[in-house]
Amino acid sequence: MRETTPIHRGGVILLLFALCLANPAVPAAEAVAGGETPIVVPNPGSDLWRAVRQREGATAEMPGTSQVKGSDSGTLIDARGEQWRRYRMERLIPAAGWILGGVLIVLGLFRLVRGQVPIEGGRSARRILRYRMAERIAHWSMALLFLLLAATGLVMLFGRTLLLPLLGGESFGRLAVLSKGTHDIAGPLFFVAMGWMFLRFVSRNLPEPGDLRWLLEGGGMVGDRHPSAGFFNTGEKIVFWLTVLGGTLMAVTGLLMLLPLLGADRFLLQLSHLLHSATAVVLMSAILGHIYIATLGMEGAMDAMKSGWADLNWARQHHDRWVEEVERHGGEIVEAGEIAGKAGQETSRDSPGASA
Amino acid sequence: MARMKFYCDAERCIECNGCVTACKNEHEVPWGINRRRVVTIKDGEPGERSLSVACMHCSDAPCAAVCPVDCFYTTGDGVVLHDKEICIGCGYCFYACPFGAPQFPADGAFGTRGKMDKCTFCAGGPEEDGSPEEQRKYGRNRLAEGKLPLCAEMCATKALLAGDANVIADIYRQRVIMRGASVLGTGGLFRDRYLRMSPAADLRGASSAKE
Repeated sequence: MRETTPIHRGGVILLLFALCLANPAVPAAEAVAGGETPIVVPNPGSDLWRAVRQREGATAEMPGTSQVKGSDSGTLIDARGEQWRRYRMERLIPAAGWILGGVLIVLGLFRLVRGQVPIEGGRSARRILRYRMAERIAHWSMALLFLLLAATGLVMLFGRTLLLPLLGGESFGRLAVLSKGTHDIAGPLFFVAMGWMFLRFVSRNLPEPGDLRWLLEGGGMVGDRHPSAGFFNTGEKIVFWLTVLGGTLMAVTGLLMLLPLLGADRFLLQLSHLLHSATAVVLMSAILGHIYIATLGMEGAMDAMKSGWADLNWARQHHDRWVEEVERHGGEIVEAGEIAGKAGQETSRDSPGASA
Repeated sequence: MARMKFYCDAERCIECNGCVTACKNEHEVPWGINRRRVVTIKDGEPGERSLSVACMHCSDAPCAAVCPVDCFYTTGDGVVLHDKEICIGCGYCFYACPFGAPQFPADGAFGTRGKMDKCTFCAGGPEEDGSPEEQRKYGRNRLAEGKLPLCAEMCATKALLAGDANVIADIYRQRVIMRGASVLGTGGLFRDRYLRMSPAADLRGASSAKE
């Protein structure tokens, strides 16, 4: 028999392949003239590698094993990484920019149209005790940590696009390392502060029948009417529950991403990042609204969180049912001049209006 | 400039883990870090295959695309490297990489993620070639010494190939052709059911089943 080079033999195979491809329905036996033994050479690896590469049409999962122990080290190829990349680069970053920027613009427009909501009849000479010292510390420690987490998180999200060209590699590198470190430490602390805040405020944030009417009246956003409310109005309750539930989700997903010891596999990490980032955008938007009302949107809204005492006229206007209750029980309503020595004193363990 | 590539031949890899050991030893990577690993599919079943996998030095590298601090760069040889001075250890490259190449030591406070470590194609990092600093952070820079990655050099069955993509592709093409020839000659290499049975009988059965 004549010596054939590998190239020649390869040519025969290619020819056979071409025949099979040309008319796959006809068995090769009929395509080859009688006498010769027909040979079908399908690639036996094709199904296997299609499954390994998680290609479309793959029929089976193809988990592997490895001597190297680690979270999903037995997975040869995980195509879901590409989906996560698309989520972060093409959805999350542009959407977060539009949403957060949009919220700022809407709040700015709202301020122009609506102006600051004044205290009806001006400031009163009397003050009502609203937040005790412990409650204010809980709120402000949580608020400070939230701002820190938001700022450092935004560096991670938008830094490469916005800050890197501005600051240059070295400065941005330092800022990024600092941001990541701060984010990692502030996160667990935030959860502790949030837990404290939750325990102090939860009894006054339970839903009640009045909430529905408050919502139906739009919280008094439009027009001059002020829907009736207790110690916390429905808007505040929504912020409270968003923060508590969202914050818990942030803490769980954050820890999964932070600690490799927890052994989360890649899919769980991708899912954690998705939940963490989406929740962050929702929380930041809600808190932007919260900060807007406290600072620009409403006269007297932040007094109580600063000193503990709220203006009585403001309280009557926005939390009428709470003021009625405090008056019924003879709670702490004093002249403005008297509060200097009393501010924030823990005169009783009961918070004012806790029964609301 | 050459375009560097790894290629692992699943028909040759015998899961000896020599590449993994060679890599760990050459670069003195810490415990828990495995720049390279061997994955076995269908372990103990017919059709078992093993592949050695590390960073594949992608052209459009997902790790580089998602990095929030842009610490990745591609050398003129097409090797994807990263700067540990810039890396913040967020883990995003690990989420995005389909091969699971980025590794993280748990060396931060409370065992948090440290700075990422991955296969460098034995090309070190951004520091001066062969400097002690580069050696400490990224391991040995063999490419600067005119040598190829040790994992491939050590491979006993020459399953793992590393080097200029054109050369690697030529070697692999040659292998495929040779394998095709061996199928023609003895029907031996692919232990496929068509080849185990009498081909004529099998085809007759297949065609009658279709009708």
